[in-house]
Amino acid sequence: MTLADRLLLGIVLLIVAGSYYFAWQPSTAGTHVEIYQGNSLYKQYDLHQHTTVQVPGELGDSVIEIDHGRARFQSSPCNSQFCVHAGWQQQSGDVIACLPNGIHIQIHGGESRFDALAF
Amino acid sequence: MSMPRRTVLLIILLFSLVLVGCQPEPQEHKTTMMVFGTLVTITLWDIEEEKANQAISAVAEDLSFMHEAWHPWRPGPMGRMNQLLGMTGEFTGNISVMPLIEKSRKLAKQSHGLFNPALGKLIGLWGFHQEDLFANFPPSQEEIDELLAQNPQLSDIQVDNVRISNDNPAVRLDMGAIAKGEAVQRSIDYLQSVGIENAMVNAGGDLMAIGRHGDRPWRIGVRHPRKKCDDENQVECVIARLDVRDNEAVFTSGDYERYFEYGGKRYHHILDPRTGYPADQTTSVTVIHHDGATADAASTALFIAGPEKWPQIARDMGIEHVMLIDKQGVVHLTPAMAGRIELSELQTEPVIQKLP
Repeated sequence: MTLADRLLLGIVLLIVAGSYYFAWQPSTAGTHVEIYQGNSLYKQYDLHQHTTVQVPGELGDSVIEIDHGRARFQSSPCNSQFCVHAGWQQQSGDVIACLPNGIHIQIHGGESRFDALAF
Repeated sequence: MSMPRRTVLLIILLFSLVLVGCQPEPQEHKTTMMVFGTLVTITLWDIEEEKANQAISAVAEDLSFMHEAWHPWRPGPMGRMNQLLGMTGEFTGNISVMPLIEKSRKLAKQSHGLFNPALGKLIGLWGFHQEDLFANFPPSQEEIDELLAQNPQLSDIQVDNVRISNDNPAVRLDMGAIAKGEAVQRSIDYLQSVGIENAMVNAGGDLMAIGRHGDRPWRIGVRHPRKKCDDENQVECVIARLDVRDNEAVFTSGDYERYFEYGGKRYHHILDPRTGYPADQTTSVTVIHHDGATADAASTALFIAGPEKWPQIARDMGIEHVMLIDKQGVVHLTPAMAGRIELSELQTEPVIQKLP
């Protein structure tokens, strides 16, 4: 094996190791959150601030809290409370919905590691 | 002076690696909307904006239609059918529900009755047929026993062309364990019919894909049934990753999606037709199959079958790719699934289980 062969082999090994590493890297953080009422965009916010937004829905107001890079449903007038239990989300591609109230949020910007999450 | 050829090749290789980092913006068209009682994300690749928007609104309309048609208790074709099933005598079945019923009949049989869409009354007893309001406590043992003694099965319904008769007044249809699979399948079929070659339809974590995401396959993570995604490190909550191939559906049933708590115990929505209670040996099942409805029904049936019995049911339903996580957290894989899925390194060694 010549020096160039070894170099090439080394690079290939690095790529293989690197691809495994990158495949398991977390998605990068999102930069903004889009709030939807029904299926239309209600408002869009930069994630890097602290604010709460009251969004009127079919049952009442859902309250979305934005806190320096992350967002959550602080409260929502539904019984099941799935959206509130979902907690904080911050990765690009994350979505949380309060279906009974017809409100959902999507986090955008940054790079999503997966095209979808199966659950 | 000339450089050695290998050095030149090496430089070319290095430059090509650098160029990979400067691809133009991806031609991804991704839309998320609330439809079919869940969040549906449609991702299309390399398609003009206008065509993408047209296709997506057509799919959204179809999904709304199917949701109404197959809803078990709202006024609509399936809701009406359920009213008529409670009475004696023949009636005419609505054309928009018949194919789904016939498909369910076959899958119910293959699953040894573990997928039982005739148990709509049981789902009602538990309060899980409501989208929002859950019961806060389990139904009484007597109510469950009484219903199970009547043994409602899809085979109680006789179909003669569009005429339907029913021997068992306890039969009520709830297509909750197959409807999403059929809906995702039909969405993909529609996208293909209008010439779209690369697409993924994700309905609340159950999905189907065709083609590829540009120069790579569609890649997905499978959620860990016990770890939440809301911490800094999203890797924690993903138990496995896999690439979805052309025309494949990936469906997951988990005990963490719809549930209520009572007396310190969690009661989830996947009910075992043999006991009338939530199936309690499994936390999550993921299957891959080329048909959406089959994948959907199978993920439920295998979840109920549990860590002992699932290989038999998988074989009879024709499912080769299965990942089952039992309540101890042990991952069970079919050999075919082991060849497709990459488990998180935090995970202990999986049990590879051949199908009988």
